[in-house]
Amino acid sequence: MASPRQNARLRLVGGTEAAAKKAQRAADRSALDDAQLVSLARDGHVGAFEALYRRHAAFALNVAVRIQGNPGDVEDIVHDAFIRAHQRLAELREPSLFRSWLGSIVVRLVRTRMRRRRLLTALGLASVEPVDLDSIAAPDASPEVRAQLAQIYALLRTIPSDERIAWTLRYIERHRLEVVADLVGCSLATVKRRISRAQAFLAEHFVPPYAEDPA
Amino acid sequence: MTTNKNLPELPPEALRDHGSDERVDRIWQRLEGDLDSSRPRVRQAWLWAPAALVIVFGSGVFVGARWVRPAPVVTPLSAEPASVGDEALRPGQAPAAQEPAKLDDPHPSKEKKPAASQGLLGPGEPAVVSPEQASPPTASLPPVLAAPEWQVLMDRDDHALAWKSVEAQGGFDAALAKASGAAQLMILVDMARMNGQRAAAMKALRAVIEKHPGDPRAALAAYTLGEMLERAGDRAGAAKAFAAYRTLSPKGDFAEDALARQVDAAIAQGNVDLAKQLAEQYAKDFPTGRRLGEIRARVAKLAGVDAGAVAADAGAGEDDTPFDEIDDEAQPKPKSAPKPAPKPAQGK
Repeated sequence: MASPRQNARLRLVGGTEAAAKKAQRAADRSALDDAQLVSLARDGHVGAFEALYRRHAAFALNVAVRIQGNPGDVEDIVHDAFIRAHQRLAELREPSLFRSWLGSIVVRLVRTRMRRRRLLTALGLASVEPVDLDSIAAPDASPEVRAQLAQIYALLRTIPSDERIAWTLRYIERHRLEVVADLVGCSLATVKRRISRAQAFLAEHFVPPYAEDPA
Repeated sequence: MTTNKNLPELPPEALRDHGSDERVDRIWQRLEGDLDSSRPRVRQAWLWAPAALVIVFGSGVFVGARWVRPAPVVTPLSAEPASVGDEALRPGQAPAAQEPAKLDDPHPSKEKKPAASQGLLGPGEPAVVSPEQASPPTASLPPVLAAPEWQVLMDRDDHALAWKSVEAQGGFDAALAKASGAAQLMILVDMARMNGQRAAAMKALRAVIEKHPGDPRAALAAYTLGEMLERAGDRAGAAKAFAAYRTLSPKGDFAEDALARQVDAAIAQGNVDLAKQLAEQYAKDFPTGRRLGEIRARVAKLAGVDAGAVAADAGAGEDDTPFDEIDDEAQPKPKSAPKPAPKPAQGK
């Protein structure tokens, strides 16, 4: 189930014998699927929860950064999301859907943070968080792609949070509509509506960086 | 689904991966310690209750202070005849003033739309609500501004009709003057560009920069203006617009390009001193800038120095910039040899 890259992530380099054994156990656990790990974690196996964490931490980090448009508090968000997941593991009805369940927790935390930040900004207690292009674009991304991302994120900041989140999950994270609906915790129709509104806004205001002026 | 012809496909490899091993390990170290103590939490509502009470009370005070005001006393000494609005304010007569409107409404159960929008949608209906149609104004509520007709039409992607609407309602300048903010001005920019009205678009872009310099859109407006002026051949104006972009967003994503294009303009105008100064600024601000080598070479050539040596020394050389619209007078492009006329096909 786990990819070679994920297995490599579980490997500890240059540790003691105990660490090596721990790494071996982690690698063994990584062969289990999410449902099995969830089942073990529910029984109190911290190692199983660690395997779940290491399997899905990158996903959670990427979702949080790409929705926010900057890496602010992202580690706290992921930390809190896994704490919350650990506390509520018993509530997860379908253990094989751990990933999307975790994603929905991350999305909720990010949305809460964005709204709190917006409120504080409106009250003059915080400044507007700028879009951090370096945290979104890969280091080797072309200037064209960087310009496109810069413009898209600048436009996304001007639309409501829910639309921004739905659009980002669909077109930046490239999740299927059903998955987006699970992640944002609403119906498929609502998600379609939100994405459609955001898409219409972006399509209308996005100016291809090097396009010819229609005038 | 709305057309997305403008929107690019963003390849997954263009996005940064944040799941580095160090980061994942760092979070896990924190998490591991917290997991032991993490149990299903009992919601302690009593902790939040005082805060919730304060928030509710504060909201009530705010709403009360903002919206609910005592009805102004009608001064009997007024020599002017009472207006419709004044009548509405008289105690006991306000409901009566609204009564005829209710009776005239053929569809009283239908949802009320904004009057201005209703006027726009019907083919022969006026876009602006006449005073007779309007409900009596009340002094206690602030006026609610409906979106102008052209904006409603722009929302529907009907650019041509939106332009006609603007012309019918006093022209583009009037719409510019009435625009309520940078967002509305940018819609006017889009409308003008979609209708091929380059001058009007530039006028609206200037309005964004001048009236709303603090708005995040102002920098983008300056950059767009610079591009349009450059295409129109107004190098000096373009240089000013790019300079404005750098002032509004010194560390913006287009700051490097804006500065490089200021250098382009200075070179095109033959202004050696300015070109040198801007090139130095470019080297200082963007020491690994994509156009550093090329800019140095061109400025050196303009100043009469051997450009080849400087370019070789700079070593940057990778001229892949899509913004590079070099003035041909300063540096003529090598033209490829004209192709010979195709020979008529000969039968074998």
